[in-house]
Formats: sequence, structure tokens, C-alpha cells
Amino acid sequence: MRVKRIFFSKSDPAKFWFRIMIVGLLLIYLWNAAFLYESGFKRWQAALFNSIFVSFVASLLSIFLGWFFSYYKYINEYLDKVVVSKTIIFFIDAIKSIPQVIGALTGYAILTNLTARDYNLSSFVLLILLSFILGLFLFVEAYDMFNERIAYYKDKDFISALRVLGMKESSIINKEIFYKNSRPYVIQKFASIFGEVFFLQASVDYIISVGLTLKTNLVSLPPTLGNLLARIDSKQDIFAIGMIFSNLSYIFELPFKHLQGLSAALTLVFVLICVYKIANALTEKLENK
Amino acid sequence: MNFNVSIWTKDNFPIVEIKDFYFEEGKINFLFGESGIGKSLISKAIYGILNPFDLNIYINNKSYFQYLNTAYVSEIRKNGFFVFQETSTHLNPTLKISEQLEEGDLSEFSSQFLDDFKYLFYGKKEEFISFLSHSYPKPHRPSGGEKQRILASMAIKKMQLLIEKNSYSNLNLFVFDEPSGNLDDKYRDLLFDLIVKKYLKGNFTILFITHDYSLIGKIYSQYENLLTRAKFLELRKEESGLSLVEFNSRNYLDWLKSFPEGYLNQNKTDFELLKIYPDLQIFGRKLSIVKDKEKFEKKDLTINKGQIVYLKAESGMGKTSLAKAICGLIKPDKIKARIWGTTIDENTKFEFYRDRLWGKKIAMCFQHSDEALNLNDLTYQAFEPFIKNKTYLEKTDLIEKNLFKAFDYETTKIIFKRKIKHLSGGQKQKINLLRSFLSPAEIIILDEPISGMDFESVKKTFDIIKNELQNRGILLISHNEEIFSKAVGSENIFYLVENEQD
Repeated sequence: MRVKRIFFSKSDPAKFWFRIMIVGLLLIYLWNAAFLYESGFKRWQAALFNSIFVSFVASLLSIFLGWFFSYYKYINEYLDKVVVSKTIIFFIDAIKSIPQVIGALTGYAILTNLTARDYNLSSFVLLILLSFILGLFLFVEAYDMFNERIAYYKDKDFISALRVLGMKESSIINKEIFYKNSRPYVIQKFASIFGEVFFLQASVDYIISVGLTLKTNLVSLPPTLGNLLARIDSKQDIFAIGMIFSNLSYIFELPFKHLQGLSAALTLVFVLICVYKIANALTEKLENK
Repeated sequence: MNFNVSIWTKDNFPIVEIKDFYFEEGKINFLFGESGIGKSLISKAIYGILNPFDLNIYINNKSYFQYLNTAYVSEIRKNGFFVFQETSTHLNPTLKISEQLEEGDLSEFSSQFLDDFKYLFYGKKEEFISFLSHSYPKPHRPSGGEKQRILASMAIKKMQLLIEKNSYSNLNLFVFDEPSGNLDDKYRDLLFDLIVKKYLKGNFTILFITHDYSLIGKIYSQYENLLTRAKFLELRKEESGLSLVEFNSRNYLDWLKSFPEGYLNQNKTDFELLKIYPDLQIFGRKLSIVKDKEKFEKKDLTINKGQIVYLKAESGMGKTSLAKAICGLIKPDKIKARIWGTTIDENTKFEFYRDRLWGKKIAMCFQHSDEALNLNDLTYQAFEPFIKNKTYLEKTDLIEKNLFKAFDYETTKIIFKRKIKHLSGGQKQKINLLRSFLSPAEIIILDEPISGMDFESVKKTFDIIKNELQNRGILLISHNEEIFSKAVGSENIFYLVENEQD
């Protein structure tokens, strides 16, 4: 009962779904540890870690870039530096006009090219580069959120009141508005970008797995849940689900014989659901605040 | 009627709890109290107009669904009216004002209503009344004061219809929630006069929520026949919770008598801090500063050290905009002023204000403390960024000393590390004021410094202003004319008026 109370109390849905995610991933881990062959298990672990790492870094980067560009645009507007502020707006609009998938695919194309040229980039560097590519096409969402926060306070007397008392504009925006009054919004945006990156990365990884150059193959890129799914043995695992239509009893063999593909797919869907729920709960909490 | 009201959020966080809320039937009940204390919320709950799905509400130990189904609620809703403080809650932007004035039961013809409506807009031309009644709340956007009078006129019409039908009972409950918050003295008086006339004819039950203590003086001086039928109540927040007590109206009147006219300007010097030349244009509107409204006698508004000058104007005329223009927070079309010997005009660059004036020579206390303060700050954090070159202990000491000016020792200790959003409206307003006075600036603009305060806070604020005037000059904007007109003295009162002559 105590465990149930600590882990599954629904008083804070965001924490509840975070715990669900941790417990769920732990269960998948234990199942894989027990029934998945060793190299597959290692691949799954690396893929999960890399996917979460890339999503985390890309989300962090998105928040940072959103913060930076929003502040930089505002301060240039405030200082009447029209050329600079218009350039920022043009640059951001240009990024917004590119569909995220196209942007990410282009970035991957460059990355694949780098790998094909034998630059001997380490997995860590490749993961960081992946994060930057994804973050670059998703930070505009954080940028919009920060702009909305400034606009909200601009409509009120908040900025004027602090300004006329002698507070610096940088402190008003960065400390008073972004840091003190936008943290829940930042957390909510971080969670939603994390989910988007997680999904986008898996989609792009899967898509490019059919179009890599001869010099580059899946082994050249760090494993992620997307390219784990794209492996031929994982695809066979997924196709095996179709077997249950002709032989229903085969359903009991799926979690033992086809674990790599199924657990990669399950992890993807499960993490996305949990992140979606966490982001929603944070939004709701924010609205009721 | 006695009510036990308990309002909680859906997450079971208490918002308002009071066991002994009451008002007397057949009387005009004035309800005072700090803003944000729950006067409106309790009244709305009793009137049955809160959404039972948004909050957990219990009235007299009944769930809100049960309460809404009682005969009492259906009767008061049918035979009364609720005038909202925030007029846009009621006024429908898709209806013309004339259509709005005929909504529901109000569609019945009343021979008297047109005269009543014109009375509320006394001094305005027929063409204006006609234009107003054919306009929409948006996009024409009547001013805040006009909308308040329009909404109040709907309640007046309901009263008149009941009088004409001779159909009134104890269940005719009319709630006026801050109906004069955006009105200057002239229109507040007209509205109040009309409400009193209807009340005396119909013997209705009126709950009049207000911060305007000067209504007390008005009743004592002009409506003596109302004294036996008026009840003055005050909602108070104490450590034990909310309570409703009878407000001793004599306290207010005695306090008002206790200081001489021009009391705040007793230490006025000849050292000029600010001079505003009388011809202005803000947002395309030509305005003038005059000393005598009737004669349209233009005059420079000068503030010396130790002097407080009171700038009066009709609601919506642009007093706050003028204050912001002087501070360089908005760009006026035309302005000329002298601040500490330096002339500024509409072409003065904002860098000048930023580098030379803001927080150094001039500061402003804004009307809405909820907007001006960072509600997520702890109380001491509201002051901290404005204290430079001090250690943490020195800062804490200074902030505490500052808070002692407005709060007693116990309250200071309690609120020091409490989030501002959890303070009452009056406490927030005092912190807003104290923060402005923490600035070394010698010119301070106070925009409605006592709005939302209870009487005790008003007295404290009055003392703070008197004390701060020793080293400063203050430009005051306020709707509380009775208090400040006397305290400032007639020679220090100026008017901002529309310039239709130039």
C-alpha cells in the first residue's frame, strides 16, 4: 500500500506519469535482461540511452536558443535597432517555413556525408551533432513561448513599473520575466519538445535507414530507437505480429522470440505516451495555478 | 440573511471561508474591505452566479448545486440585479447598447428610464447619448466609466420597472460591485443619487460593495434620511480567517476632521522639482492643465520639494497616460516639462530617461499592484533589486525598516518571506507604494495609491505619504477626492481637461 501511495498517487499527474515512465522502462529492461539475447539487449540499452540523450540535449538547446533569440530580438527592438531585430525575425521565420522533418533530414544528410568521409567522429560527437540539428528546427517553439511571456507582461504595467524604478532591461526580461515568472512554462515546453524530438528522431532514423550511402551503414551511426527499428531483424519482429492473425497462439511467443523489434517499438510508444501525459499535466497545472 | 460560505478550488485549496456573512433585508448595506479579500466572490456565490463546475462551493452546508435549486436563489435572480465590477463580464460586444438595455425582463417599457439614463450622463449632449446607445461595447469601446454607468443603468431600470409594477419584496436583492470604481466624483454622485432615489421608493435590499469611504461623508451630509436605513459593514482578514464586522462610520468622519486643509503641504519649499507646461497632446487627444475648470484657466503645474500636487480629471481623460509620458514610458504627441531643471519634450530620447531619470530623479507607483509587482516574489524580494552596495544583512534590515512603516512588527515578520500573490490586495498595494519610496528619486508619481485599501491601511498610507514628503515632491492621481482634496488643499489641485478651444 505504501509503495502504491508513494509511486502512484494521482495528486500530481505530472509526477504520477513520470513515475509510470520510470517503472515501465524498468519493467521493459528487466524483461529484456531475462529474455533478449545479449547483443540485442546491449543494442536496446544503447538505443534507449542515445535516444533519451539526444532528446534531452536537443530540448535543452531549444530552450536556450529560444530564450536567447527572444531576448535578443526584444532588446534590439527596445534599442530601436530595427535592422538587427528584423534580421532575427527573418531568420526565425525562415526556419519556421521549413518543415521539421525536411530540416532534420537535411541535417542528417550532412551528418551522413561527414561519416562517409571517414572523419572518425566519435559516437558522442555524432549524438551532440544530431541534437544540434534537431534542436535547430525545434527551438522556434520555445522562442514563440518566450515572446508570448514578454508580450503578456508588456500588456500590463509590470515592465514599466520596474523600468521607472531604475531596473535594467536585461534584469526585467531575463530575471523577472523569464526566470521568476516563466519556469512552469519552460518546464512544460521542455517536456513537449522532448517528446517531439524523441518522435522526430525515431522517424528520421527509420526513414534514412533505407537511403544511406554505400560507405555509410547503420553501424556507422550511434544506435537509436529509430535505427534499431530499421534493422532487418527488428523489422522481422514487427512483421511477426501479423502471424497472430493466422495463428492466435503465436501471441504468447512474441514477447520471447521477437523481443528486439517489439521492445524498441514498445519503448518508443510508451515513452511518447508518458511524455505527452507529463506535458499535458504540466500545462493543466499551469492553467489552474 | 445569514450565510455560511465556503469556496474551495477543485484541488481542494480554500479560497474563501466565512461563517457569519450577512446583510440586512430592506436596507442599503455598504460592504467595505481590502481588495482581493473575497467581497465579490462571496456576493456572486450568494447571488448564485458562480459556475458550480469551476469551484467547490458550499453555502449554509448545502452543495452549490443544491443551493442553486433553492427558491431563494431563483427569487433573487428574478427580482434583482447584479452589477459587475468588470463590466465586460455582462456587456455583450455583439449587441448595441440600446439592445443591451432591453435584455430579458428589461424589455418592458418604462416611461422613466430614458430620463434616468440621461441623468447618469448629465452634461453630455443629446447627440452623444444617441451615439452611445447605438454603439457596441466593442469596437467603439465606451470608456470604463461610461460602461459602468450603462451597466448600472440596467439595474436602475429593473428597480424602476418593479416600482412601476408595485412589485417589490425582501427578495429584491440588488448587488452593486464597485459601481463607481471608474467614475469621477461628479458621475459617482449622480449614480449614487439615482440608486438612493430608487431604493427609497422601492424598499429594496442593496448590497453596495465599495472602497470609497467618502460615501460615508456624503450620506451624513446629504442623505440624513438614509442614516437609519444604511448599514456599514467591513470584511476583515485576520489570522483566524475572514470575518464580517460593523464598520464604525464615525471613525472615518472623525479622522477626516482631524487634519486641517492642506495638511500634507505644510512643509512645502521653493525648490522646484517638476514643472509641466499646460498644453499637451497624448494619443492624438489635445489636453490642457487648468487651475479652474469652469474658466478654463491654463496654468503650469509645478511641484516643489515638500509639495504634493493633486491632478484631477474625468475617468478616461488620460491622467495615467500623462504620468507615463512624463516618465518617458510612452511617447506623447506634444509635451513640455522641466524635471530637475532639464527640459524634456516629445522628442526627448528614451536613453535620457533611462540614464538620467528612472530610479534616480523620478519614480512612479502604479495603480494596479497586481500588475506592478512580481507576484511570484517573496515580499522582501520586491525591494531587494533596488538596494545597491549593501550586504545581505544590511539589505534585510533596511527592508524590514521599510515594512515597519506600513505594517506592525508581527505582520512584517509574517509577510517578509511570504509570496506576494498570497498577500491581501491592501498589503500588496502598500508594498507597491513602499517600493516606490525606497527609490532615491525625489519626484514620485502616485497613481491611485489607496485603491483597494481598507480604512486602517488608508490611514497608514496617509502617514507614509506625509513622512516621505519631507524630501520629495509628489504628483498624485486618485479617485478618492474627499480625502485628498482636503489633505492636499485647493491651491495644489489641478485639472486635466480636454482642450476644445485650440
